Amino acid sequence: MIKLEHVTKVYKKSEGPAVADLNLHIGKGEVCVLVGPSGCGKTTTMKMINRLIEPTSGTIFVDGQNIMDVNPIELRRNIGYVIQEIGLFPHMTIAENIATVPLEKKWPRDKIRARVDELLQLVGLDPNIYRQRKPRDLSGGQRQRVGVARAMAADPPVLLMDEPFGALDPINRGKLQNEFLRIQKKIQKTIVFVTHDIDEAIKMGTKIAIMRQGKLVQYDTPENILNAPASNFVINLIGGNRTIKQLNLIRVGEMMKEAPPVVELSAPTVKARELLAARGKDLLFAVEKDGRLAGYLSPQNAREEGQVADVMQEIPNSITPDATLNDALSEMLAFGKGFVCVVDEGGKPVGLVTLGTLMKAVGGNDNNS
Amino acid sequence: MTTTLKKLASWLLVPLLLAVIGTLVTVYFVSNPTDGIVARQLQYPKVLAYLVRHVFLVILSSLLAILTAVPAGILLTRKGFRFLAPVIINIVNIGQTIPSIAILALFMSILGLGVRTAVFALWLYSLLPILRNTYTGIQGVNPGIIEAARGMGMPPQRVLWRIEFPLALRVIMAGIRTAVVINVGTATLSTFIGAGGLGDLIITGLSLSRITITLTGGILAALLAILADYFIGQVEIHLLAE
Ligand SMILES: Nc1ncnc2c1ncn2[C@@H]1O[C@H](COP(=O)(O)OP(=O)(O)O)[C@@H](O)[C@H]1O
Ligand SMILES: [Mg+2]
Repeated sequence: MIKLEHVTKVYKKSEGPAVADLNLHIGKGEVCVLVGPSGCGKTTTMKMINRLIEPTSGTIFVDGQNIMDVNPIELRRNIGYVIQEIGLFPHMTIAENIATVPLEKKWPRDKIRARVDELLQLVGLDPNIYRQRKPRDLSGGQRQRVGVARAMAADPPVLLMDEPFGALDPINRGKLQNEFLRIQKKIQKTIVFVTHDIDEAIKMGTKIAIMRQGKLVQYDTPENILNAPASNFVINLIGGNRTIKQLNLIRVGEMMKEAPPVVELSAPTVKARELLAARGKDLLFAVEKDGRLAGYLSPQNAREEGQVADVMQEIPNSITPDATLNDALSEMLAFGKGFVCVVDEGGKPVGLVTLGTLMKAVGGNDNNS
Repeated sequence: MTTTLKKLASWLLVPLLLAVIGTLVTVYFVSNPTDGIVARQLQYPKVLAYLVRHVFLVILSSLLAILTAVPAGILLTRKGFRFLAPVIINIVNIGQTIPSIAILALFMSILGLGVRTAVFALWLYSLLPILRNTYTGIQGVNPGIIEAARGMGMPPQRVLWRIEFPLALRVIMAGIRTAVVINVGTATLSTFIGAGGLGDLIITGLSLSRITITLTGGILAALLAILADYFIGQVEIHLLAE
């Protein structure tokens, strides 16, 4: 879908090239993450793809076409572009921001309006609330969501994203990453994603392109890069514990265990005892009337008399199936228990991740379940 | 309905107040002449004519200044002309340091006496604040925002009108406001080249040693400056309304 061949960029008045003889093939529907230390040429590489920067030499193809043969305005309207927080137009409403490219493409008004609402919903913002707001009324995470929605407005097959979540705190960043992966599963765009955070690269990428001083040092899947780093530079970039980093590659949904039996908050604890005994489990989930997770019960809790609501223990946080096992591990450490509950988007319990699950995932001994 | 009326009333409050003060001052000085000389100089039709001429000079020169300095300021931010910006801004800056009276004298010797020279000099003198603010306002727009617009395929013209200009408008309007208010004051000097205006009253009063004549002209000019400031301020608020 995107092909860079011997691409070199030398800025005026600079000594070495910012990008040197780069070759990169990105397949349709892939997320290619460009990663490397600051100044290694990631942004330059990305901007050459939508002709914000013209290469000094080399050729770039998008969808089989040499981009130098395409009108840059036309080219850019078919390539979504997301930059760090600053990119939203502060004087326009959220709806107007998202409508930018459709307006340039002269879509009819009704179609634009419908598309804006659809996109706001897709990125998890209620259109009725956010349509008419201004960017300054939004939190950092919400702005970034709008940025992504705006880039996807005219449904371009290709998205360029330059450190899209870089300005967010770790918790929000993790959340947005997960949401974005969920959306990407649905929309299957070809994405070039720039980051200097190797963990983000491992999590987001189908392929990772590691760059150093304008050159490509390794281009492979996250698994292969973790298992066979091509050089000391890559090893240093990966840093830390490679086993734990592999937890970034696995989704909770792929590994989680079946959810424990559930019992309603209003039920008497005797019901909980029966359930525990009947299923031979040591954990129960307490749920609201509508099925949403409210807490959990251990056999000790269930031993007391009364209603489930009175004896259950609160669950401070839960995760969704599209979170990574690394997220699950963080939650477990924060929660201080050996498990974390998995809920769907509606908050209903769908599974359970235990320490044993994590051990199994990294190939350790599984003697905990 | 009532809210729009209320809005209108509050909007008109300041202009009305200024008009009332101006009228009271004028009526007082005109109906209480200290002697025959004052009585001859201070007559309603005369005062009104000076006022109208003054407003005419200010509006015409300011409009011309806006129509030239805003496009020129924008042009200086465009790719092919950016290198000219420091030179042009400096030249206009130096022009601004020349006393306005000297400018009038200079152009009087070239263009002769009269309204045309006055308008020309006032126009020249209003250029700088508008030009400078237009230039810095547009230069000051966050480059990330412009790049996002370009990156999404907005052609340069559209980037200018949909992104850069609206975002710079606050600064541009501030420049226009400064220019017009200064203009109201400078226009009193037009009297020296026979272009009329409230300056006539001020100078006549001074040369005849009749303070009330000078006061009438001076107070009306001051009220006019406040009115202009208020009016442009309101336009600004409406243009930049959320
Ligand atoms: N417009 C420019 N003019 C000159 N040099 C630049 C320009 N943009 C980037 N560079 C240089 O090119 C190199 C690569 O920059 P960049 O692509 O922004 O790196 P990254 O995005 O990986 O941090 C850096 O050394 C940077 O200083
Ligand atoms: Mg960068």
